[in-house]
Amino acid sequence: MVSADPQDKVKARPALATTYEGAGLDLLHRIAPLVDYLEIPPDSIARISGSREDLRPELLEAIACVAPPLKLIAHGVGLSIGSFDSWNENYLRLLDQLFGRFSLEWHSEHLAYTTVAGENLGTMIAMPRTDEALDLICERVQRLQKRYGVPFLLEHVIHLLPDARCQYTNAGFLNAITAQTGCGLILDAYNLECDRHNQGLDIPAFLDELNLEPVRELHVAGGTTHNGFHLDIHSRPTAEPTLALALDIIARSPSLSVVTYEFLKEAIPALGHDGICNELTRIRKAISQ
Amino acid sequence: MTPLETQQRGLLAIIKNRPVDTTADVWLELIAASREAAMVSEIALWWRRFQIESQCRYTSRLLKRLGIYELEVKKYFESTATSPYIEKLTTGFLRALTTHADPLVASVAKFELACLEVNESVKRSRIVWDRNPETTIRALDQLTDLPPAEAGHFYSMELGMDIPGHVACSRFAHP
Repeated sequence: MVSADPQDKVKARPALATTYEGAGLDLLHRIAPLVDYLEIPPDSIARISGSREDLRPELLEAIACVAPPLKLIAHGVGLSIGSFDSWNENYLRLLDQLFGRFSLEWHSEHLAYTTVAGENLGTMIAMPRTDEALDLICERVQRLQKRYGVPFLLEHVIHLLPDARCQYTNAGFLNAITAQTGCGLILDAYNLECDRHNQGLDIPAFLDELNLEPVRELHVAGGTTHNGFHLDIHSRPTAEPTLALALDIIARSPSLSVVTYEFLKEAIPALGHDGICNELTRIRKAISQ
Repeated sequence: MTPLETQQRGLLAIIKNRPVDTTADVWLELIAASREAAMVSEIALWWRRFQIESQCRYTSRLLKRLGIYELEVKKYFESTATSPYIEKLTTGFLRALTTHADPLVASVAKFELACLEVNESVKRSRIVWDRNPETTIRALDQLTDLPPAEAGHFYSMELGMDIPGHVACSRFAHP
């Protein structure tokens, strides 16, 4: 007898993606056969000419050489969706250019702020989990959904600072955003581990409370420890415990379709092209089992 | 001000090492002198140093030799609304150093700024050096000893797209 219970369906294996921040063509051509998606951070492939930022034409050409067959997703760092005053319109202009050139499966940003009153913080700070922040985020998410017409995903960032007084748990805040807006989520296995180390996050309790249905994408990466803090500097291969956590999240998230190995452009000399390719092969093998 | 604005403005001030009224919000009071906030500031500064070093090869090398690289980046970061874009960050940093009290730092920063802008500018840049610029740049490039300042002489360098080779330099005696 065939079960009609959707839980009994055989879940498709997630596709594999990796970051492309405009590193050399030789690396792009090596990683392209190993992945299904490229994750493009528009901010990282832009340059300033005069007073205006534009996507670099030579990098768009390079991406066009591999897409198709690769599918593309955009992952921003500079929108600053949580700034009290306004988000970064310059980032949206870059995103417009990317959407104007390619068909993107979805786009995403960090649930955070990088700019305050027009001044860049130089880092990314998690939002306070309050009704005020919830209203601001949801209104902006809905504007993004209307503007681009493809799914929009939010990613939780690490909490280096102790929490401000809050009205929601970590998972409860994400649940409220997805319930109000219908947006998707990116979970980052390494960020969760950082939060466990730095702030004592109870990962099993977080995952139990989180509505995992909106989770479309999962990030994996390896980072570093400095002055006792785990930092989300994506400069290393994925550690085994991170990969194990990733596999647990994959098993529990019904709509998760892409796993992305993230590494910084600045980490390429240390990781090496061979190291990056080996890592992609290793992750592919792990998520295919 | 809403609580969110108070917290975000306060955090900006903490990260940039500026005066902050911590009585306005209990969270700001909690984090102001915390090791966590110090770590956040350190990360922000680390990225700025990394970005500037990658774009301003000669100036960063000179500042490191003088033992003031970290200090100068910190001063610039804390006193300026720094751009997230590396091009703006580095040109802003170099521009700030063009009036540095050490004439060699000022000359190298002017030179590097002129090199970055030479393709975009129709104007010529003129840089005065207290020592031979060619051997200075070579020393910074090859990590060898810097030439000494030449008492009684100076070098006048011009950069511009209309100059053959884009650069010209002459040595003069001080009047």
